[in-house]
Amino acid sequence: MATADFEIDSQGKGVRLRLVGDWTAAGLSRLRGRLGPRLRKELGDAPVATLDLTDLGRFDTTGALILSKAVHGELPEGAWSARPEVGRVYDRVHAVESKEAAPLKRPSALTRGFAKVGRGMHDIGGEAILSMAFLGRLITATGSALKHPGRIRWPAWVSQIERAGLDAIPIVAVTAFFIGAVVAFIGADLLQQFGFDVFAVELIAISVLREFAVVIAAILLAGRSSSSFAAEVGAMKMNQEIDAMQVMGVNPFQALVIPRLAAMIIMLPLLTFIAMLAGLFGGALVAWSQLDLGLAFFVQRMSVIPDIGNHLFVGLIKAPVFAIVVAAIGCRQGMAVSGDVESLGRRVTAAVVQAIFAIIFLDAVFALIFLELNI
Amino acid sequence: MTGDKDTVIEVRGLLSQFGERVIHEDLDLDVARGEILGVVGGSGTGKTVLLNTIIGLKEPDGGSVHLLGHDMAEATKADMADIERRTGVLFQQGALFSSLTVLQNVASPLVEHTELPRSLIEEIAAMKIALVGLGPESHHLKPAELSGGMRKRAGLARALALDPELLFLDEPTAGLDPIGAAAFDELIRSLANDLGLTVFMITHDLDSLYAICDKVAVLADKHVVIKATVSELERSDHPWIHEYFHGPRGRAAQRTG
Repeated sequence: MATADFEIDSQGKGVRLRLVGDWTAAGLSRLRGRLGPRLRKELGDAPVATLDLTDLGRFDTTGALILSKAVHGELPEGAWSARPEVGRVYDRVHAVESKEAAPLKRPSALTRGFAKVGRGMHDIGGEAILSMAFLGRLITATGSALKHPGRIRWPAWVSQIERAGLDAIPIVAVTAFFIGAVVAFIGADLLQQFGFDVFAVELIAISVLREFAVVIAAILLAGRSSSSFAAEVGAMKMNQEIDAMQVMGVNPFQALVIPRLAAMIIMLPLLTFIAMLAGLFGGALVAWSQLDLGLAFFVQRMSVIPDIGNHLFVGLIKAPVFAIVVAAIGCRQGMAVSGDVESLGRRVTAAVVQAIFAIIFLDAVFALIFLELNI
Repeated sequence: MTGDKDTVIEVRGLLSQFGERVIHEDLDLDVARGEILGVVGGSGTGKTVLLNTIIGLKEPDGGSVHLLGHDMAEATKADMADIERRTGVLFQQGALFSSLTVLQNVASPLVEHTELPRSLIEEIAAMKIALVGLGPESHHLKPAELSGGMRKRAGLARALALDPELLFLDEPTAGLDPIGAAAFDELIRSLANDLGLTVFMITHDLDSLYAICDKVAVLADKHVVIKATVSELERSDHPWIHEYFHGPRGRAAQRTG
């Protein structure tokens, strides 16, 4: 492939421009595009009188664009008579080139930064209102589902319970097991220094029952189910399935949100209980191996902890609340997906982040309440 | 290299199957340089599968595909880069990158395959956008903000970004209103004429066949039944082709075409 070049001959009558080589995007690419400015400089404002095409190879729209810009669109009549097909390319490009208006200017980085902050603040307000609207629709949908239990979509419940609940058992149990073990390791190490080894049992039992089991289960479900709810509902929204439901008179809240919410409310307490057992088991194994406290001793010691039932209750009572948070935030973000793929990604991220934040925030609120109530 | 230089697409004995389901069997197809070929066939006859096989998105289960003189089965990385530079594809839904603006979308093949400076790439992209009839106000819009017709045009601008010799169009006029579709047909015809393109176009649109196609290949019974001009096809006695051209829609297109 011959490199694109040109020669200018200003002797005789007017300027003679000779085009050499391949004037194509690929050919010009090797010159890193310097041909256009050079041609413009050397040509100046002199009008081109004749065009010599004898050594011109291939010529594409990129070459045409560069030539058209350099000669300000002024070429003599019949300049392309030697190569009419090249002339058509040039004319085509020249026609749109001269029509082209100045492209939109993007505002400066500073303005864009301020605009982003402003839009963000505005969005917070809008999001809050939309969240309230979602909550309102969710409550009315729940009310009407309770009023007409015949219309509840049991198959959807069951499939959600399986996918969001049963399938999560292994990961929840394994994670809780390791959390219990870690707490036991740290506790054993610290308490041994003071000679209070046996209190490791209290540490493990209370921390796992009250906090770790439920928070770990909820956070795992926030990562697992909140995201999948947002992605599923969001993809349905993009695919206009939600619009189709509305047109058919199917309330999307009844069909999509309620089953997911119910599945979470049913399954999260059960998963929490499984996480409790797994966490205690992990802790007991470490206590056995590190502190020589046998499993039987662990259980016996645990059963005499005052108010052990209260700790269990505190853990379990938080589960349905966290379940509502996980399901509602996931579905709410899914419903907010607009047409493009980027918003789907943003909404799924928002679902997980908000759900985890809400879980930890609500856990702190619960801790304060239970402290005041002396439970 | 097989075949003569003026055959840009050469498909021989193509076999395509998904599991047990055979889509193409013993399919032959040649497309000559400068030809505008329409590919028609009923739903599910594997038009898009054929397109994907030719451009290398799907490996053929048998037979061979030669594209621009390269055997797709033995194409090296350099061959593939050459093919990518010399072909443009307009997918059915436009397939614009949703995170980029229209201008960035059209510029993306140039950024990928040339070493031109940024400013020139933007000028070229702006020119291509103007070439397909979109105004400069569309430059900074995201694909989600475009109408269906604008998305098709932007997709065509991106397909044309590298001045390909060979353009693949998957149902370019589907989903456009008749006036928009006619304008799009005219655009493809004039671009193909002026820029010397070879066009492989899948379509259901009879008007497009009459308006712009030099030849029409009919996919039926798992292979290309016939490749001929529209007027020859009208006289064909193959039952599907007869129904296609002499059904109510075919007759309407013939009257106007």
